[in-house]
Amino acid sequence: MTELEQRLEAAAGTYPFPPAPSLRESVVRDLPGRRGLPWRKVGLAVALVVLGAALAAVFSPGARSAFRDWFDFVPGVHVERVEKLPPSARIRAFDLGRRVSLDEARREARFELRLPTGVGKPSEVFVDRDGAGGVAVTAVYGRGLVLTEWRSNHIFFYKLLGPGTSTEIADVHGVDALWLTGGDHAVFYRGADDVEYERDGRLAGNVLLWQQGRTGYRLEARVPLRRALALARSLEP
Amino acid sequence: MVGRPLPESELLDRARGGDEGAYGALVEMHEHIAFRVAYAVLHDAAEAEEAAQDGFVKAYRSLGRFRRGSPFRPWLLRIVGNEARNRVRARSRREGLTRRVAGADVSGGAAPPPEAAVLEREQREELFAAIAALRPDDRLAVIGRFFLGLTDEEAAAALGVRRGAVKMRVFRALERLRLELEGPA
Repeated sequence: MTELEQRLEAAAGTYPFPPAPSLRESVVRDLPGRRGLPWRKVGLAVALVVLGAALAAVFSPGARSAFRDWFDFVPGVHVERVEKLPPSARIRAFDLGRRVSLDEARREARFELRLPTGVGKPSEVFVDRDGAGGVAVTAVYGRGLVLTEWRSNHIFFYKLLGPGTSTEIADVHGVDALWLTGGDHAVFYRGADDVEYERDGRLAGNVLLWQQGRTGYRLEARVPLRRALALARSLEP
Repeated sequence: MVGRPLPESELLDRARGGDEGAYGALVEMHEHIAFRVAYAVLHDAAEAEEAAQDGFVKAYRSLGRFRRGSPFRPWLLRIVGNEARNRVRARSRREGLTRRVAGADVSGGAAPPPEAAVLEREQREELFAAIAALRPDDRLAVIGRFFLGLTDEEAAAALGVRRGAVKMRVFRALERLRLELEGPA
Protein backbone atom coordinates (compact mmCIF):
# COMPACT_ATOMS: atom_id res chain seq x y z
CA MET A 1 0.00 0.00 0.00
CA THR A 2 1.37 3.40 -0.96
CA GLU A 3 1.78 6.25 1.47
CA LEU A 4 -1.11 8.06 -0.16
CA GLU A 5 -3.39 5.06 0.27
CA GLN A 6 -2.35 4.85 3.91
CA ARG A 7 -3.22 8.51 4.36
CA LEU A 8 -6.60 7.92 2.78
CA GLU A 9 -7.34 4.93 4.94
CA ALA A 10 -6.32 6.85 8.03
CA ALA A 11 -8.63 9.68 7.03
CA ALA A 12 -11.63 7.40 6.51
CA GLY A 13 -14.40 8.40 8.83
CA THR A 14 -13.26 12.00 9.02
CA TYR A 15 -14.18 13.10 5.50
CA PRO A 16 -16.50 16.07 5.91
CA PHE A 17 -19.65 14.70 4.32
CA PRO A 18 -22.60 16.97 4.98
CA PRO A 19 -25.37 15.37 7.02
CA ALA A 20 -27.42 13.10 4.80
CA PRO A 21 -30.94 14.46 4.43
CA SER A 22 -34.02 12.37 5.00
CA LEU A 23 -35.40 11.72 1.53
CA ARG A 24 -38.25 9.33 2.18
CA GLU A 25 -41.02 11.88 2.39
CA SER A 26 -39.92 13.97 -0.57
CA VAL A 27 -39.28 10.93 -2.77
CA VAL A 28 -42.65 9.35 -2.01
CA ARG A 29 -44.33 12.70 -2.66
CA ASP A 30 -42.67 12.84 -6.09
CA LEU A 31 -43.53 9.30 -7.16
CA PRO A 32 -45.40 9.24 -10.47
CA GLY A 33 -48.60 7.85 -9.00
CA ARG A 34 -48.81 10.82 -6.67
CA ARG A 35 -48.81 13.46 -9.35
CA GLY A 36 -52.46 13.26 -10.20
CA LEU A 37 -54.36 15.36 -12.68
CA PRO A 38 -52.92 18.81 -13.14
CA TRP A 39 -55.91 21.02 -12.87
CA ARG A 40 -57.38 19.26 -9.90
CA LYS A 41 -54.36 19.91 -7.80
CA VAL A 42 -52.78 23.01 -9.15
CA GLY A 43 -54.44 25.97 -7.60
CA LEU A 44 -51.84 28.05 -9.30
CA ALA A 45 -52.51 29.91 -12.46
CA VAL A 46 -51.56 27.07 -14.72
CA ALA A 47 -50.41 28.20 -18.09
CA LEU A 48 -51.78 26.19 -20.93
CA VAL A 49 -50.25 26.98 -24.25
CA VAL A 50 -52.53 25.69 -26.95
CA LEU A 51 -50.92 25.88 -30.30
CA GLY A 52 -53.01 23.73 -32.56
CA ALA A 53 -54.31 20.28 -33.19
CA ALA A 54 -52.46 17.11 -34.04
CA LEU A 55 -48.81 16.40 -33.40
CA ALA A 56 -48.56 13.53 -35.77
CA ALA A 57 -48.76 15.65 -38.87
CA VAL A 58 -46.10 18.01 -37.70
CA PHE A 59 -43.14 16.07 -36.49
CA SER A 60 -41.02 13.36 -37.93
CA PRO A 61 -40.95 10.16 -35.83
CA GLY A 62 -37.48 11.07 -34.57
CA ALA A 63 -38.52 14.54 -33.62
CA ARG A 64 -41.60 13.21 -31.90
CA SER A 65 -39.52 10.81 -29.89
CA ALA A 66 -37.07 13.49 -28.82
CA PHE A 67 -39.94 15.76 -28.00
CA ARG A 68 -41.70 13.17 -25.89
CA ASP A 69 -38.51 12.29 -24.06
CA TRP A 70 -37.86 15.91 -23.32
CA PHE A 71 -41.25 16.36 -21.76
CA ASP A 72 -40.89 13.21 -19.76
CA PHE A 73 -37.74 14.69 -18.37
CA VAL A 74 -39.10 18.03 -17.31
CA PRO A 75 -41.23 18.08 -14.20
CA GLY A 76 -44.34 20.18 -14.34
CA VAL A 77 -44.78 19.88 -18.10
CA HIS A 78 -47.14 17.54 -19.82
CA VAL A 79 -48.05 17.04 -23.44
CA GLU A 80 -51.29 15.60 -24.56
CA ARG A 81 -52.25 14.93 -28.13
CA VAL A 82 -55.81 15.80 -28.99
CA GLU A 83 -57.82 15.92 -32.16
CA LYS A 84 -59.80 18.93 -31.09
CA LEU A 85 -59.17 21.67 -28.63
CA PRO A 86 -61.45 21.85 -25.63
CA PRO A 87 -63.94 24.72 -25.42
CA SER A 88 -62.77 27.62 -23.39
CA ALA A 89 -64.14 30.68 -21.68
CA ARG A 90 -62.31 33.72 -22.99
CA ILE A 91 -61.15 36.24 -20.45
CA ARG A 92 -59.15 39.40 -20.83
CA ALA A 93 -56.63 39.07 -18.10
CA PHE A 94 -54.27 36.28 -17.34
CA ASP A 95 -54.29 35.31 -13.71
CA LEU A 96 -50.68 34.96 -12.80
CA GLY A 97 -51.28 35.01 -9.08
CA ARG A 98 -50.93 37.70 -6.49
CA ARG A 99 -49.09 40.85 -7.45
CA VAL A 100 -46.14 41.46 -5.15
CA SER A 101 -42.91 43.39 -5.11
CA LEU A 102 -39.77 41.71 -6.33
CA ASP A 103 -38.43 41.56 -2.80
CA GLU A 104 -41.61 39.92 -1.60
CA ALA A 105 -41.40 37.40 -4.40
CA ARG A 106 -37.85 36.55 -3.42
CA ARG A 107 -38.96 36.01 0.15
CA GLU A 108 -41.98 33.93 -0.75
CA ALA A 109 -40.33 31.70 -3.31
CA ARG A 110 -38.78 28.62 -1.79
CA PHE A 111 -36.03 28.63 -4.34
CA GLU A 112 -33.55 31.17 -5.62
CA LEU A 113 -35.16 33.48 -8.14
CA ARG A 114 -33.09 34.18 -11.22
CA LEU A 115 -33.90 37.02 -13.56
CA PRO A 116 -32.58 38.05 -16.96
CA THR A 117 -29.91 40.69 -17.01
CA GLY A 118 -29.82 43.68 -19.32
CA VAL A 119 -33.57 44.16 -19.50
CA GLY A 120 -34.09 46.23 -16.42
CA LYS A 121 -36.40 45.37 -13.58
CA PRO A 122 -39.71 43.64 -14.18
CA SER A 123 -42.68 45.97 -14.31
CA GLU A 124 -44.84 43.47 -12.44
CA VAL A 125 -44.15 40.39 -10.35
CA PHE A 126 -46.67 37.74 -9.33
CA VAL A 127 -46.51 34.85 -6.90
CA ASP A 128 -48.81 31.91 -6.83
CA ARG A 129 -48.72 28.62 -5.04
CA ASP A 130 -50.60 25.37 -4.86
CA GLY A 131 -51.80 23.49 -1.84
CA ALA A 132 -48.86 21.12 -1.93
CA GLY A 133 -46.18 23.73 -1.50
CA GLY A 134 -45.45 24.40 -5.16
CA VAL A 135 -44.55 28.01 -5.90
CA ALA A 136 -44.54 29.92 -9.17
CA VAL A 137 -43.12 33.38 -9.67
CA THR A 138 -43.82 35.34 -12.84
CA ALA A 139 -41.91 38.44 -13.79
CA VAL A 140 -43.46 40.61 -16.49
CA TYR A 141 -41.27 43.00 -18.46
CA GLY A 142 -42.11 45.40 -21.24
CA ARG A 143 -42.38 44.35 -24.88
CA GLY A 144 -44.02 41.03 -24.15
CA LEU A 145 -41.22 39.44 -22.15
CA VAL A 146 -42.60 37.18 -19.42
CA LEU A 147 -40.53 34.82 -17.31
CA THR A 148 -42.16 32.22 -15.07
CA GLU A 149 -40.10 30.04 -12.78
CA TRP A 150 -41.52 27.38 -10.55
CA ARG A 151 -41.03 24.42 -8.33
CA SER A 152 -43.90 22.07 -7.90
CA ASN A 153 -44.64 18.41 -7.66
CA HIS A 154 -47.52 18.81 -10.04
CA ILE A 155 -48.00 19.53 -13.69
CA PHE A 156 -47.79 23.18 -14.55
CA PHE A 157 -47.93 23.44 -18.29
CA TYR A 158 -50.32 21.59 -20.47
CA LYS A 159 -49.53 21.85 -24.12
CA LEU A 160 -51.11 20.89 -27.37
CA LEU A 161 -49.12 21.56 -30.48
CA GLY A 162 -50.53 21.84 -33.94
CA PRO A 163 -49.74 22.49 -37.58
CA GLY A 164 -47.70 25.58 -38.20
CA THR A 165 -45.95 25.40 -34.87
CA SER A 166 -42.30 24.56 -35.10
CA THR A 167 -40.28 23.13 -32.26
CA GLU A 168 -36.59 23.04 -31.72
CA ILE A 169 -34.42 21.57 -29.03
CA ALA A 170 -32.03 24.23 -27.81
CA ASP A 171 -29.37 24.38 -25.13
CA VAL A 172 -29.42 26.50 -22.01
CA HIS A 173 -26.25 25.98 -20.02
CA GLY A 174 -26.01 22.38 -21.11
CA VAL A 175 -29.63 21.58 -20.43
CA ASP A 176 -32.12 20.71 -23.12
CA ALA A 177 -34.69 23.40 -23.70
CA LEU A 178 -37.70 23.38 -25.95
CA TRP A 179 -38.35 26.30 -28.26
CA LEU A 180 -41.90 26.70 -29.55
CA THR A 181 -42.67 29.19 -32.21
CA GLY A 182 -45.16 29.93 -34.95
CA GLY A 183 -48.62 28.59 -35.53
CA ASP A 184 -51.80 29.52 -33.79
CA HIS A 185 -50.83 30.94 -30.51
CA ALA A 186 -53.23 31.15 -27.69
CA VAL A 187 -52.53 30.77 -24.06
CA PHE A 188 -54.80 28.88 -21.75
CA TYR A 189 -54.72 28.19 -18.11
CA ARG A 190 -56.76 26.34 -15.57
CA GLY A 191 -58.12 28.49 -12.83
CA ALA A 192 -58.51 27.40 -9.27
CA ASP A 193 -62.17 26.86 -10.11
CA ASP A 194 -61.08 24.10 -12.49
CA VAL A 195 -62.40 26.07 -15.43
CA GLU A 196 -60.22 26.53 -18.44
CA TYR A 197 -59.72 30.10 -19.57
CA GLU A 198 -58.15 31.49 -22.67
CA ARG A 199 -55.89 34.44 -22.71
CA ASP A 200 -55.86 36.85 -25.59
CA GLY A 201 -53.64 35.25 -28.19
CA ARG A 202 -51.82 38.42 -29.08
CA LEU A 203 -50.14 38.32 -25.69
CA ALA A 204 -48.43 35.07 -26.44
CA GLY A 205 -44.99 35.20 -27.92
CA ASN A 206 -42.54 32.44 -28.66
CA VAL A 207 -41.85 30.20 -25.73
CA LEU A 208 -38.67 28.64 -24.38
CA LEU A 209 -39.04 25.93 -21.72
CA TRP A 210 -36.30 24.33 -19.71
CA GLN A 211 -35.34 23.07 -16.31
CA GLN A 212 -32.31 23.98 -14.24
CA GLY A 213 -31.83 21.90 -11.13
CA ARG A 214 -35.33 21.42 -9.80
CA THR A 215 -36.59 24.73 -11.04
CA GLY A 216 -38.63 24.96 -14.21
CA TYR A 217 -38.47 28.02 -16.43
CA ARG A 218 -40.82 29.34 -19.08
CA LEU A 219 -39.67 32.36 -21.01
CA GLU A 220 -42.16 33.98 -23.34
CA ALA A 221 -41.04 36.72 -25.67
CA ARG A 222 -41.61 38.03 -29.16
CA VAL A 223 -37.99 37.51 -30.06
CA PRO A 224 -36.02 35.03 -32.18
CA LEU A 225 -34.45 31.95 -30.64
CA ARG A 226 -30.99 33.46 -30.41
CA ARG A 227 -32.25 36.36 -28.34
CA ALA A 228 -34.39 34.07 -26.17
CA LEU A 229 -31.39 31.88 -25.47
CA ALA A 230 -29.30 34.92 -24.60
CA LEU A 231 -31.99 35.98 -22.15
CA ALA A 232 -32.26 32.47 -20.69
CA ARG A 233 -28.51 32.19 -20.27
CA SER A 234 -28.34 35.59 -18.64
CA LEU A 235 -30.50 34.61 -15.68
CA GLU A 236 -28.86 35.56 -12.42
CA PRO A 237 -29.93 35.65 -8.79
CA MET B 1 -46.14 -4.07 18.72
CA VAL B 2 -43.43 -3.42 16.20
CA GLY B 3 -43.32 -5.80 13.28
CA ARG B 4 -40.14 -7.26 11.96
CA PRO B 5 -38.74 -5.22 9.08
CA LEU B 6 -39.45 -6.74 5.72
CA PRO B 7 -36.49 -8.03 3.73
CA GLU B 8 -35.36 -5.94 0.80
CA SER B 9 -36.62 -8.44 -1.76
CA GLU B 10 -40.09 -8.30 -0.24
CA LEU B 11 -40.03 -4.49 -0.23
CA LEU B 12 -38.97 -4.52 -3.87
CA ASP B 13 -41.81 -6.84 -4.83
CA ARG B 14 -44.29 -4.64 -3.02
CA ALA B 15 -42.86 -1.45 -4.50
CA ARG B 16 -43.09 -2.98 -7.96
CA GLY B 17 -46.75 -3.52 -7.24
CA GLY B 18 -47.17 0.18 -6.47
CA ASP B 19 -46.76 0.07 -2.70
CA GLU B 20 -45.33 3.51 -2.00
CA GLY B 21 -44.80 2.72 1.67
CA ALA B 22 -42.57 -0.19 0.73
CA TYR B 23 -40.60 2.02 -1.61
CA GLY B 24 -40.33 4.62 1.13
CA ALA B 25 -38.76 1.97 3.34
CA LEU B 26 -36.27 1.20 0.58
CA VAL B 27 -35.46 4.89 0.33
CA GLU B 28 -34.76 4.99 4.03
CA MET B 29 -32.47 1.99 3.75
CA HIS B 30 -30.36 3.52 1.00
CA GLU B 31 -30.70 7.30 1.24
CA HIS B 32 -27.47 7.68 3.17
CA ILE B 33 -25.24 5.97 0.62
CA ALA B 34 -27.15 7.50 -2.31
CA PHE B 35 -26.63 10.99 -0.95
CA ARG B 36 -22.94 10.40 -0.29
CA VAL B 37 -22.31 8.99 -3.74
CA ALA B 38 -24.04 12.00 -5.27
CA TYR B 39 -22.05 14.28 -3.00
CA ALA B 40 -18.81 12.61 -4.01
CA VAL B 41 -19.58 13.55 -7.60
CA LEU B 42 -21.10 16.97 -7.10
CA HIS B 43 -19.43 18.21 -3.94
CA ASP B 44 -22.46 20.33 -3.24
CA ALA B 45 -24.91 19.24 -0.57
CA ALA B 46 -28.03 20.81 -2.09
CA GLU B 47 -27.32 19.43 -5.54
CA ALA B 48 -26.46 16.05 -4.09
CA GLU B 49 -29.76 15.94 -2.26
CA GLU B 50 -31.62 16.74 -5.47
CA ALA B 51 -29.62 14.19 -7.45
CA ALA B 52 -30.28 11.48 -4.87
CA GLN B 53 -33.94 12.33 -4.68
CA ASP B 54 -34.36 12.38 -8.45
CA GLY B 55 -32.39 9.16 -8.65
CA PHE B 56 -34.81 7.45 -6.28
CA VAL B 57 -37.79 8.67 -8.30
CA LYS B 58 -36.24 7.48 -11.57
CA ALA B 59 -35.41 4.14 -9.97
CA TYR B 60 -39.03 3.77 -8.94
CA ARG B 61 -40.15 4.43 -12.49
CA SER B 62 -37.70 1.81 -13.72
CA LEU B 63 -38.52 -0.90 -11.18
CA GLY B 64 -40.17 -2.91 -13.94
CA ARG B 65 -36.75 -3.31 -15.54
CA PHE B 66 -35.01 -4.28 -12.32
CA ARG B 67 -33.92 -7.91 -12.43
CA ARG B 68 -35.44 -9.93 -9.58
CA GLY B 69 -32.87 -11.42 -7.26
CA SER B 70 -30.21 -8.83 -8.10
CA PRO B 71 -28.90 -6.58 -5.36
CA PHE B 72 -30.77 -3.28 -5.32
CA ARG B 73 -27.96 -1.07 -4.08
CA PRO B 74 -25.61 -1.24 -7.10
CA TRP B 75 -28.55 -0.76 -9.43
CA LEU B 76 -29.69 2.28 -7.47
CA LEU B 77 -26.18 3.71 -7.28
CA ARG B 78 -25.87 3.46 -11.04
CA ILE B 79 -28.96 5.62 -11.42
CA VAL B 80 -27.86 8.09 -8.76
CA GLY B 81 -24.34 8.23 -10.20
CA ASN B 82 -25.75 8.96 -13.65
CA GLU B 83 -28.02 11.61 -12.25
CA ALA B 84 -25.13 13.29 -10.47
CA ARG B 85 -22.91 13.15 -13.54
CA ASN B 86 -25.63 14.66 -15.69
CA ARG B 87 -25.79 17.55 -13.29
CA VAL B 88 -22.04 17.99 -13.47
CA ARG B 89 -22.20 18.16 -17.24
CA ALA B 90 -24.89 20.79 -17.09
CA ARG B 91 -23.04 22.72 -14.44
CA SER B 92 -19.57 22.53 -15.92
CA ARG B 93 -20.64 24.48 -18.96
CA ARG B 94 -21.52 27.47 -16.91
CA GLU B 95 -18.79 27.51 -14.36
CA GLY B 96 -15.39 26.11 -13.65
CA LEU B 97 -16.05 23.16 -11.42
CA THR B 98 -12.44 22.88 -10.37
CA ARG B 99 -12.39 26.45 -9.19
CA ARG B 100 -15.62 25.90 -7.36
CA VAL B 101 -14.64 22.79 -5.47
CA ALA B 102 -11.08 23.88 -4.90
CA GLY B 103 -12.40 26.88 -3.09
CA ALA B 104 -14.90 24.89 -1.12
CA ASP B 105 -14.66 24.79 2.61
CA VAL B 106 -13.82 21.22 3.46
CA SER B 107 -13.35 21.86 7.15
CA GLY B 108 -17.05 21.40 7.79
CA GLY B 109 -16.92 24.48 9.95
CA ALA B 110 -15.64 22.47 12.88
CA ALA B 111 -14.01 24.15 15.83
CA PRO B 112 -10.20 24.06 15.85
CA PRO B 113 -8.87 20.87 17.41
CA PRO B 114 -6.37 20.78 20.24
CA GLU B 115 -2.92 22.06 19.35
CA ALA B 116 -1.37 18.62 19.36
CA ALA B 117 -3.64 17.59 16.51
CA VAL B 118 -3.09 20.65 14.38
CA LEU B 119 -0.53 19.07 12.10
CA GLU B 120 -2.64 16.00 11.55
CA ARG B 121 -5.67 18.14 10.90
CA GLU B 122 -3.78 20.31 8.41
CA GLN B 123 -2.57 17.27 6.54
CA ARG B 124 -6.05 15.88 6.44
CA GLU B 125 -7.50 19.12 5.20
CA GLU B 126 -4.82 19.29 2.54
CA LEU B 127 -5.83 15.80 1.49
CA PHE B 128 -9.52 16.66 1.45
CA ALA B 129 -8.89 19.85 -0.51
CA ALA B 130 -6.94 17.84 -3.07
CA ILE B 131 -9.80 15.35 -3.30
CA ALA B 132 -12.24 18.21 -3.73
CA ALA B 133 -10.17 19.53 -6.63
CA LEU B 134 -10.31 16.22 -8.51
CA ARG B 135 -12.60 15.71 -11.46
CA PRO B 136 -15.99 14.34 -10.37
CA ASP B 137 -15.40 10.75 -11.48
CA ASP B 138 -11.94 10.66 -9.93
CA ARG B 139 -13.39 12.05 -6.72
CA LEU B 140 -16.07 9.38 -6.72
CA ALA B 141 -13.49 6.67 -7.36
CA VAL B 142 -11.38 7.77 -4.39
CA ILE B 143 -14.23 8.51 -2.00
CA GLY B 144 -16.10 5.37 -2.98
CA ARG B 145 -13.05 3.20 -2.44
CA PHE B 146 -11.65 4.73 0.74
CA PHE B 147 -14.48 6.54 2.50
CA LEU B 148 -17.67 4.79 1.46
CA GLY B 149 -16.42 1.23 1.31
CA LEU B 150 -18.22 0.49 -1.93
CA THR B 151 -17.77 -2.98 -3.32
CA ASP B 152 -16.29 -3.24 -6.79
CA GLU B 153 -19.75 -3.96 -8.13
CA GLU B 154 -21.18 -0.88 -6.43
CA ALA B 155 -18.27 1.31 -7.46
CA ALA B 156 -18.58 0.11 -11.05
CA ALA B 157 -22.28 0.91 -11.02
CA ALA B 158 -21.83 4.34 -9.49
CA LEU B 159 -19.02 5.17 -11.92
CA GLY B 160 -20.92 3.78 -14.87
CA VAL B 161 -18.09 1.45 -15.90
CA ARG B 162 -17.56 -2.29 -16.11
CA ARG B 163 -16.53 -4.01 -12.91
CA GLY B 164 -13.13 -4.87 -14.34
CA ALA B 165 -12.40 -1.20 -14.94
CA VAL B 166 -12.82 -0.09 -11.33
CA LYS B 167 -9.27 -0.82 -10.20
CA MET B 168 -7.85 1.15 -13.11
CA ARG B 169 -10.20 4.04 -12.37
CA VAL B 170 -9.08 4.10 -8.75
CA PHE B 171 -5.43 3.83 -9.75
CA ARG B 172 -5.71 6.75 -12.15
CA ALA B 173 -7.63 8.80 -9.65
CA LEU B 174 -4.93 8.19 -7.06
CA GLU B 175 -2.30 9.30 -9.55
CA ARG B 176 -4.16 12.54 -10.12
CA LEU B 177 -4.64 12.97 -6.41
CA ARG B 178 -0.94 12.51 -5.86
CA LEU B 179 -0.26 15.18 -8.47
CA GLU B 180 -2.68 17.51 -6.72
CA LEU B 181 -0.84 16.99 -3.47
CA GLU B 182 2.71 16.97 -4.68
CA GLY B 183 2.61 18.71 -8.01
CA PRO B 184 3.98 17.11 -11.17
CA ALA B 185 7.22 15.15 -10.73
